[in-house]
Amino acid sequence: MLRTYSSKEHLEQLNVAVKIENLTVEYNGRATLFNINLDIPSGVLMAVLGPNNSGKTTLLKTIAGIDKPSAGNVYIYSRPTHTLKNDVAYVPARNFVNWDFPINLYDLVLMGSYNRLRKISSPDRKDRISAKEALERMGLDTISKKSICDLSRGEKHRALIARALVQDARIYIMDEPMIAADEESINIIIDVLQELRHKKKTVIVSHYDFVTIPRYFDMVSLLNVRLIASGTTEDVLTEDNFEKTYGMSAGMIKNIRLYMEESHARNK
Amino acid sequence: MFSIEFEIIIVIILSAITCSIPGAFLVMRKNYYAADTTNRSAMLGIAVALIFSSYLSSPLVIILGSLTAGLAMILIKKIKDFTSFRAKGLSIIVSSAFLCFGILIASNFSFTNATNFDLSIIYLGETAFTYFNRLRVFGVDIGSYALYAISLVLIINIIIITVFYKEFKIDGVDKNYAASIQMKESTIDYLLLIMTSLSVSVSFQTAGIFMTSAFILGPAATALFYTKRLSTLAFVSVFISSIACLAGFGIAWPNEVSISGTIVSFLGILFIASVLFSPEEGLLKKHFDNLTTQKRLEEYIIMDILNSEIIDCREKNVNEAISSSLKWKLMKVSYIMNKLKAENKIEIVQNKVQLTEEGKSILNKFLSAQHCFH
Repeated sequence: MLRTYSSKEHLEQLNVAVKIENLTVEYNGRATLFNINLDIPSGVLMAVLGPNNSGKTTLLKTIAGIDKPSAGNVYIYSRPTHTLKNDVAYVPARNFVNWDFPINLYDLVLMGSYNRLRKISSPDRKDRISAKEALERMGLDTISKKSICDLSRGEKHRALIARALVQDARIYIMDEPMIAADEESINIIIDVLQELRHKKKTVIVSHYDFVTIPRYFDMVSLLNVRLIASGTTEDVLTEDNFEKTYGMSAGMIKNIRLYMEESHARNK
Repeated sequence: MFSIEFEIIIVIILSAITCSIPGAFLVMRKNYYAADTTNRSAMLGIAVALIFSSYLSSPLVIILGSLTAGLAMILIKKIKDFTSFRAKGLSIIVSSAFLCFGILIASNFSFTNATNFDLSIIYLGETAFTYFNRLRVFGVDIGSYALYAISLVLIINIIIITVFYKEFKIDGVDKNYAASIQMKESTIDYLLLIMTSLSVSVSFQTAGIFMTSAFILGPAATALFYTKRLSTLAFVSVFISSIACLAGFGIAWPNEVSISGTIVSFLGILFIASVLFSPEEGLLKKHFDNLTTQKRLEEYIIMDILNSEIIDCREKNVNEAISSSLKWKLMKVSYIMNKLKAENKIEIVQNKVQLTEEGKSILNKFLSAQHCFH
């Protein structure tokens, strides 16, 4: 079990790591996020849940300072997000990375130290040790010389998290880090999330499987362009909120998911 | 200063190396169309420059050529940001427009000034002519102008790559990560644009409009078949460029045919040979790998059948039974069965065909490695 901050009172006692005020983000005239107000306490594991095109990735990218708000503000420890270089480690979804680029796994993970380096300088011994430790932690040390294009899906997820570990940030933002990963990778990723929380890091994860959320996360935010609800998993994961987010009940979604898993197993 | 042959071959090699450096990064970023767009768009600047300066190696040609190439790329980026057009389609439209304007201006200039300027040099390049534009310092001939112009652009390219190596690497792999550590994506785009347009403009006289793209993309695209390391890729690209130049020149010069045309043809042959015969990525290697994997899979299928079903040799012919159940040819089944027997994976005990302990262990290892999400 990962959760420790189970009650609303616990969460209120914590400092705010991420403060989002009236955030709207639009692409080509369409709002992908609309008027979001959200406080994320420091040191929690938070899941962001919502249907496709609900703005999960946009929310994470805006917090990481990658996407710019059309309106509103995002603050990380009271400072505007775009002014920060070392406080946020962003783990993109696997398909946003050019896996054909000719580098090996070790090089990819070592890139986590680049935000601390000056022009022309290269990673020092400390950075190299940190990269090796991150590879070891993610169970990838034996394949560190493997080209990144030859990694399996689960290894790719783990590689991106290893790179984030090298960044040693205060806030970790991960976009679908477990989707379509093998069981071994999922277990390692869950363990690492737990470790990060023990180290008082704030971790924000967009997640697809609402069934496992109460087991792994302290907090959850339901998103569908607008913020539907945010808080402890008990408070947020209600039938009413699910209907508002997905347009159907949690039971129905669970049945659909089970059916899809079964049909996938049959097709295999 | 040097013999004509030596100076020409040096100009060609430097030109190819200069082009292959931005080319390596364009190929790795999968930004193939940029090379073509840049050299077609540079035609407009070169044509305008020719009104004021009648030789292709003049600084004005390089500057205006680079400017129009850069302008076209920026225009494409801006139109793409505000419309639903794809960059590839836009680049064809915009670069064609720049190219046509350039051809109109150049042909009009050539006609009205009766300079007998040979437009085919712009299209196809003519390296031999670079020898006749000499650079003189205090009246002393220090070599062809093109030699120094190309060397200068090569040095600029090397400096940019050295200073921004980390940034090029991050930007090539993961643009989101680059943005999250506050690295401006546009900086790398513009640096690559500067390198490409300068290289294209300076190489025009050597390779011409139609062949500069091959100078840029050919070596890097070929090098990708031999290495998966960024640092090695740049060196392999440079090596391939040099080999193609030497071979191309060696064939073209004594036979009095187009030098750049022969070099590009040689680059093409190298690329196709790599596609077919590269030891790691070649089509032949992949084909044989697939065949091997398929054969191994067929062995596992038969082993799995023998593991789950006990077949008595006295009741029926084992090979025929498997052949009819899998709908495979009897000859194929017999071959695989003999192979399995020879490798001690199957045995006949009391008239029953079954897997040996070794066979069982190999099959179990194979089955446990089959993950649906792996």
